[in-house]
Amino acid sequence: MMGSKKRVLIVDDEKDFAFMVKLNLEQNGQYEVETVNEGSRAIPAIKTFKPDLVLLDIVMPDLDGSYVAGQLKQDPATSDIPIVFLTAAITKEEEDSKNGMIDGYPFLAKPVKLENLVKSIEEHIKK
Amino acid sequence: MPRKKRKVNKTKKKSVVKRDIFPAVNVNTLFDFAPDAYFIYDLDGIIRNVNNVMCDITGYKQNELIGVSLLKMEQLLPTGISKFAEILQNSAYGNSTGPTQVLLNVKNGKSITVEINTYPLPKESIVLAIARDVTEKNREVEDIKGLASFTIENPQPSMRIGRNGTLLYANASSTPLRIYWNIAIGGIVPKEWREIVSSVLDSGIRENVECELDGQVFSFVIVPVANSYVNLYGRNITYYRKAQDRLQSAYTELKDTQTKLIQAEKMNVVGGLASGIAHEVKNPLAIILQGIDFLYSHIEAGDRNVVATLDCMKDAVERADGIIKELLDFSSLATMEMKAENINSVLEESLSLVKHQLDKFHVKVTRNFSKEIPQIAMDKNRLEQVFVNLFMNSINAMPNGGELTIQTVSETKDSKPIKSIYDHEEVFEIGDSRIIVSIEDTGSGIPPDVLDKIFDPFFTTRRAKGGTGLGLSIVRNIIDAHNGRIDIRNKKDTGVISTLTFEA
Repeated sequence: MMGSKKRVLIVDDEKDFAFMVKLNLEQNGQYEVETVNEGSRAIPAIKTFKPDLVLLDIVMPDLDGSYVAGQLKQDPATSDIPIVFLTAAITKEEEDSKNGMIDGYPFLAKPVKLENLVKSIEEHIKK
Repeated sequence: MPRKKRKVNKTKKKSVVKRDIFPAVNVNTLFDFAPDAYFIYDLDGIIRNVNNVMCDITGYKQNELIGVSLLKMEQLLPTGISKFAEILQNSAYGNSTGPTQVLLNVKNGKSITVEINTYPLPKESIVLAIARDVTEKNREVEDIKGLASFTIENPQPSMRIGRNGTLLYANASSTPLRIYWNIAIGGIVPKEWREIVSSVLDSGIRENVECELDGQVFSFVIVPVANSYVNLYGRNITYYRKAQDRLQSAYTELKDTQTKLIQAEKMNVVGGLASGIAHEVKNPLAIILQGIDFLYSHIEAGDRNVVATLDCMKDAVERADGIIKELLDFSSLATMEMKAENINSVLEESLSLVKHQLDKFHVKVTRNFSKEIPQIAMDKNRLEQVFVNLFMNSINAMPNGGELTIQTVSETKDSKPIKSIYDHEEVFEIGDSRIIVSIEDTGSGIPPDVLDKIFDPFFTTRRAKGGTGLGLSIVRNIIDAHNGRIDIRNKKDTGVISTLTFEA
């Protein structure tokens, strides 16, 4: 496929963070990014947008990111979409000891450098 | 020849009771109005005369009694006929009898007990018998005996002691005490008890006294009676005392547990707070970092100041992130892992972690490690964190060099005064073993006006140099979580001494 952008959906209740991630990822034309600010709207948005990877915040006021991840895995229409958790709710020890995985999903700890974010996306995105 | 004169004692006077003072009173009247039952019987046992009282108490009229043989009065004397036969025999011999108690069945069915005395009048061959109703008196005597048995049977000691210390009475339950005093009833009680008796009799106020005997504890109420003796009412309070002691230690244990729980709760609260704060702060930091990363690629090439600005901002974000991480570490103390370790080796490893700093600032290290240190349960990483923190504080106080002296000592607190420098009295009891670590430096010491703040979170005198101020508050929490104590104070000469005490 030529020139088609990789689709990334970011689910995060922090509007400004999602906005900045979209800005950063789209600036080189590699990605098309959709933002969702409520956990409850994540699944419908994913079904519509059909992303190649989902960046998922864990601590959200309405729905837990882990719960959303579970729902996606259970639904055959979405179960093959790779998920990367992006979370502020983690200690350094946990970060160091978890080998980059939480609950079976890869994760990144906020605040995250753009280069690390891109590295992780490239590592896990659906090819 | 002169006649002998009969000497007469002229002062002697005869006192004569003239029988005719009572001219109107005759014997019959006396007989009839006597207060007791009088009856007269002959030597065959036949009643010859009865007085009014005799009729009153027996319920029989005169004509039912006179002429009747007492040996045949089964109705009147249900059980007494044999007794009466004995009395009659005595009368025949001219002997008085009595007091003899006899049961009478009186006419309307009740029975009474009478006490009979008999007086033979041999010349007339008759006997005067006087009977007194003692039913009530007997009952009263039984009542008194019954009341007395309370004291006699009382499982608690009861005693009576006279003013001069004589043991007037002691019930069976007082025997152990009596044996201890080595006296019998009638003996004199020991001196300190005599003093108590006197004091109670003098004041007229009852007193409470406790005494221990053979592992039993007794409490006595000592009551003065009419200034002549005291009654002692004792209670064995051994079990009560033991229960009191057990309650006391249960209470102490409860308070200790409460303190520990409060501490754990604080940690939980801090933990909750910390992770809440972490989350709230990390999100804005994440936004800023994304922003900085974005700006990097949207600036004029070669604009060094802008780049430098973005670099400063990025560093600041990373520093803030670092503090948050430290805060989360601090709050995650609930997940400490305790294992038996030797504290000397932990100290040694901590020293090696700061070796570079020690060399850089020319700090000489002296070790006085006791060889007989028992292993204690600890989270090794956390304690290393503690020691590194304290070492760094000392090093920072000696920028031009100095001495760092570390000592470890193991002690058992017994009744002798302990040798160590500081005595954490309120924490450790006699018999506890403990390990004392002291870390001394020859630095500038802590300014006295900040000494009480050093353990406050975020208090630091080194903020400009990157100090977060969390160090000592984390240190104290780690030590508390090990059930230990930390004490930091200035030495008499310059420098600071930190003393850490752990249960062994």
